[in-house]
Amino acid sequence: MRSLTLNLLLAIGVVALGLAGLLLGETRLTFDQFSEALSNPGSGPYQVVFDIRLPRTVAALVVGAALGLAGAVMQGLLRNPLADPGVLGVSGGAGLGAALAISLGLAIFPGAIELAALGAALAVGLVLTWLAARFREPEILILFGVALSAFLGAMTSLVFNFSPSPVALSEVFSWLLGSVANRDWDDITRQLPAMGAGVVLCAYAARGLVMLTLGEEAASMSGLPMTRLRAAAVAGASLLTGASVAMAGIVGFVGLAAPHLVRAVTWGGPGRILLPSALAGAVLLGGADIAARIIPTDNELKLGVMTALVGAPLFALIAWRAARNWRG
Amino acid sequence: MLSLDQCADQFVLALSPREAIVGLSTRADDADSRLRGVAVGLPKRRVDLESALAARPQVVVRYWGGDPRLINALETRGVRVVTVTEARNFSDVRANVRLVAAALDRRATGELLINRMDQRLIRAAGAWGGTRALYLTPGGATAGPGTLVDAILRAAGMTNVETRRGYQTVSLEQMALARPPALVLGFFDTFQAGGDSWGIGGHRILRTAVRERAVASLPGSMLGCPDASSAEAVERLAAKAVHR
Repeated sequence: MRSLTLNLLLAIGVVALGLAGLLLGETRLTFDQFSEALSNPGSGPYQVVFDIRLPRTVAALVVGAALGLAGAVMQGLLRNPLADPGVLGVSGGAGLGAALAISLGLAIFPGAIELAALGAALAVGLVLTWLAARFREPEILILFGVALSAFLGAMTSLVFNFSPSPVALSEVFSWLLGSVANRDWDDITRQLPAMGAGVVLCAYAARGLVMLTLGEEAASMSGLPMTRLRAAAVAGASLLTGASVAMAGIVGFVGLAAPHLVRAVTWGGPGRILLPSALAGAVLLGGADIAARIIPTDNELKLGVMTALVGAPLFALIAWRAARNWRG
Repeated sequence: MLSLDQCADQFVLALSPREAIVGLSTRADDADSRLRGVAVGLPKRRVDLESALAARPQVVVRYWGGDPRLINALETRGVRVVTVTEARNFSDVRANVRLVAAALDRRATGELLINRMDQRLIRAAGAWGGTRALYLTPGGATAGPGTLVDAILRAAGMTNVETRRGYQTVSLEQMALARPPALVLGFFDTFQAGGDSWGIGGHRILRTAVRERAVASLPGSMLGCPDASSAEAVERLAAKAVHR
């Protein structure tokens, strides 16, 4: 499929999910209630559609796009189909930041939890950026990322260990499960600057990703500032992931799955799949969020749980295919 | 006597003579402990076998503290372990008080506590005259039938708007469409109130509802345990009706 066609189809999917996000929810609104929502600002139906469903829908689409883009950048940079910000420990870092802030009671300051998540993701991103500049081999960055991820996971377990009460523990746990339920405009606007910076850095790094497909040596002889481009890719993906975790908690596998879904239907180098991966991420998370809303469970299914349930088998499938390719 | 968690602390502190208490939980004098003033100066212990045995208790009281292995290890060594259960109404609370009082051999003190609790309930009965209300925590949780919070609302004369059984997450959409006339807030005074502000509690619909329709705010120390402090919550709630 041509890249333009794919982008158009995905964009249509995003718009359709955006509309579905306004129409579908926990409450089944009647036609009259939708009319009231459009004609009477301040009415109950207006609040449901525009104060509850709209910011939630936007949050799902934005987070999905950010994770899809971050995943595509990481996979392009590391030339590894199993790479995503979660594997490298960026999500784990953001989760740890949020967990610490919650258990220390910092949430009395508006935006403190989000800031802690973003700050921790950035710190991990800085370490990865330094490693990316120091070591050219992608395998080394992955190995460091795995070690970092395990360490951050242990630190988060430590927060659980010293949790002051079962209530605080459940709050941390709830955060880590990931969700865009009940997100307000403030939650979104606070993260947009970081996401914007992440998008700019990823766009800047795109040409470096293209060169990397020719191999490390060819890339280094291309005349492009590869060290700087590599660092921009890691920093951009870290910003996108950190802001996503700050907005929605840990939502795994979208960054992994979105680029793979795009590559399954179109051909293109890492630079060309960035936009469709972002759109595919938005479609994936937008769809998952609507499913979470309408599946009739007593407690709403958390997004992180749902994406992991779908993403883990996909991860296994990718590994299976990769193993077959390696065997020839 | 040794207690293994903050709720067990409340029972032990209310029923046991001070000199008989060999250990309380590490949260016994936290801000959300109802009897924190009484806990001051008493030893606090970690919940593990070594610490528990070192205190040489005859009776260990627990609600959620400890785990089955610890309980089994204590019982194997001849320590009596009493576990209070979740209360869904005031009869359950009375049963808990009697259970612990009997284990501590303080039946008369237990009956006195129950009597005081019942006096509070009698004085508060019907205070709100059937006002429809929704219970709400900073994290957006609410309570329906089959919970102690529901019993508290009803004991103060309120009609609980929430019809789903048990503890539930409040539905923002339902809040917007069918605005409850009154909100009874719980746990807004505690550490968790801050911790919850990033979640549903931070949403403008909830913040507006709290600002415009909250009629009473009950401290977490009166709501967190299945003990006699729940009657104090009823009394506090009823007093707000008088002031309106």
